[in-house]
Amino acid sequence: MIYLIRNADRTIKTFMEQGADCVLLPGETLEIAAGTFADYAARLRLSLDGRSGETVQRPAGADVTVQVSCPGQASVALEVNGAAQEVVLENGLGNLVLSGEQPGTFEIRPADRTLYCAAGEGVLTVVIG
Amino acid sequence: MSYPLSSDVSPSQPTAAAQYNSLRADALRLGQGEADAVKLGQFLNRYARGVKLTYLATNRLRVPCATTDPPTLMIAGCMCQAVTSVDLPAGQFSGSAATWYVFAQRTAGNTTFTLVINTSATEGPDQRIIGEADWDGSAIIAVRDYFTTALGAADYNSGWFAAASSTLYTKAHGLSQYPRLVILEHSTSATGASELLPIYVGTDGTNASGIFSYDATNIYVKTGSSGSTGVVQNFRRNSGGGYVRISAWK
Repeated sequence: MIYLIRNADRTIKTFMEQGADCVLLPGETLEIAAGTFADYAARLRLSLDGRSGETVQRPAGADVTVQVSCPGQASVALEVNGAAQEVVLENGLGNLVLSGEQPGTFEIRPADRTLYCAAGEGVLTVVIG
Repeated sequence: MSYPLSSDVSPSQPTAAAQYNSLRADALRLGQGEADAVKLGQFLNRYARGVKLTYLATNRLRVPCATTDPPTLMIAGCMCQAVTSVDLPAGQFSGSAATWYVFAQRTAGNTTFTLVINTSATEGPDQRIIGEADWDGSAIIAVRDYFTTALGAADYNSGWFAAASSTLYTKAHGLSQYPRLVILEHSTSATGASELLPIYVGTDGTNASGIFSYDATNIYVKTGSSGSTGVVQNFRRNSGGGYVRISAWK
């Protein structure tokens, strides 16, 4: 079983291996879903050169390609520094190309956070420079 | 069964077999029957306390003696206790790289013990194995003390949960007291199959700060606002996501 906490606005705050110990803030709700923790984490995975769940740094220069995995979907809506960006998927896999010209930080997360959790491997920060 | 079984006898009273047997049962099994208790000597056969094997020099080892908790252990049924630190003499290690086993050795007519080493872990007749040392051919490079108490399993384990920056996670630890030890670990993998980082600080992008606290009921994790380092900042890696697990001991 998987335990989800939803914020008051229905966005998914986190997902957990166990739920009996979680203390909810006002407005939060606890949901129980079928499946394993690892399966749930794999619903949306953002990675760069195989690295996910951590901040990845690249030198300025060449563009950077983020791998997007969202099994069973034809596309997924992401936010890059708050701007919406649709990624087309083939067999649940796609790429998101970021400009590496200028030093800066890209924070990538799902646009629909009622569907996907912006935590775990569903968020990725890429630092250029 | 009452304890002790034996009772005082008066000077003129003949000692009966029952009295002797009660006295013997008290001495051997604290008054309990043979079916219910092993003999005291057997019970204490592997007893040891205050025995800590430590590095002394490149080819020497020591069991230090603290007067408040002197090295005490049973060797071949004899209660031995050191009154000063016990050192392995120089010149005992030899040959190429190997693991040497360390024994407390008793000697007849002596209540303390000495240290001896052997490349075999088998205890001799008056020996008790207490640890081991790795020898690289010229020096000791590691010492393992068999009596160091390992840290037990955590009394509270949150399991992994997905983390993000700028978020408060509150977990009820169920210990009914302030934990004595709390650690947070960070993984990049949902299965925990990555290098694990102990989490000490996250950041707001400028300042680093501790991210957890606790009371007698809950453990609170408040991540920093930085998307790059809000969950963990570490020379090994930074993250504003990934997975966190909390362990606590009472």
